[in-house]
Amino acid sequence: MNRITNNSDHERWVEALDRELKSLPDLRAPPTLAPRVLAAIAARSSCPWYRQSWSAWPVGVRILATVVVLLTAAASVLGWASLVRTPDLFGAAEEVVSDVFYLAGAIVNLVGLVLTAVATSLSRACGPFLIGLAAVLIAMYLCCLGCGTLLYRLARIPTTKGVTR
Amino acid sequence: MQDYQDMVYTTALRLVGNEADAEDIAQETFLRAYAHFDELQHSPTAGGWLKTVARNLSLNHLTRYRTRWQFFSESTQDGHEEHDLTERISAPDPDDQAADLADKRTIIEDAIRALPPAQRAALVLYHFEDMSYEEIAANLKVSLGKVKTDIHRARELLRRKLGQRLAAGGF
Repeated sequence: MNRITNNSDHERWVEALDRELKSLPDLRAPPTLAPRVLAAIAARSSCPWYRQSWSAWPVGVRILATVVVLLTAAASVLGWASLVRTPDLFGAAEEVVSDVFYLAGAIVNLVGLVLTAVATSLSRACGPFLIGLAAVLIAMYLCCLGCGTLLYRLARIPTTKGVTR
Repeated sequence: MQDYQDMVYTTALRLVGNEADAEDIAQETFLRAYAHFDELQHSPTAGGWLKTVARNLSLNHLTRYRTRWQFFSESTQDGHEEHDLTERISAPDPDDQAADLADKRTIIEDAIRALPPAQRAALVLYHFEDMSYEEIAANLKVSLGKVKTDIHRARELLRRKLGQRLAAGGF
């Protein structure tokens, strides 16, 4: 019985709240809104066409750009097809690519070896020091995170009139 | 623009709960309207179009900053939010007498703005935008259960806070 009363009480509250909220009038927009919008529109209008979005470009330029893009795409496809069909050209390109990969691999190996050597010698020489340094860095990071969160919370504490500071 | 600026600004402010963000969203809404000026100039649905754009931009804003709210606000929300809200709305105020005389509507708007972002967004979409629970869940990209819980909690918070202050006003 009590539960039924609570339910109907809750439903009455929801209906009353809904009625009350729907009856609220619109709030007044700040007087700065209209000047801001007009200024933004003026700024956009004074911007040259090539710095605006595609849809704002002149029709002729849009057609020309489309043609150029299509021609470039067609030239790329045809160029690739002719490269594949010409064994000598394809072989030369393959050689260049493999040389580049070989060189990159050698550089990566060398850097890896140097880093490993440095890390090994450092850990032998001053292992506890490095561990301590890492611990200090982590503690400082956590401290910064904590201070940031605290300041954020403090900045969002409302005044007595419900306005955040 | 004069005819619609209050509606657009109100839609954004009720959803995002921050005046500066609401003004930015209203500005962006009107800039988009300007880009479609030819279609909207004589359209009878221009108001609806503007409201939908303002709502979508506000929802984008809310979902973009959701991780930030969860990290900074919702982690401490359960324990402190009710307390914060009580302080914001019914703490002893030096201008208490003036507040008692203040417009009921202002008190309701302040109470809505003081709700946690997730609860406020769900409540506003349900009561002001007439969206169903399912639509709200889809728009806010959260589960249906969370939407129902958020709306229920928001109503309970408003009931506790507005019940006393607005008793004389018919609540």
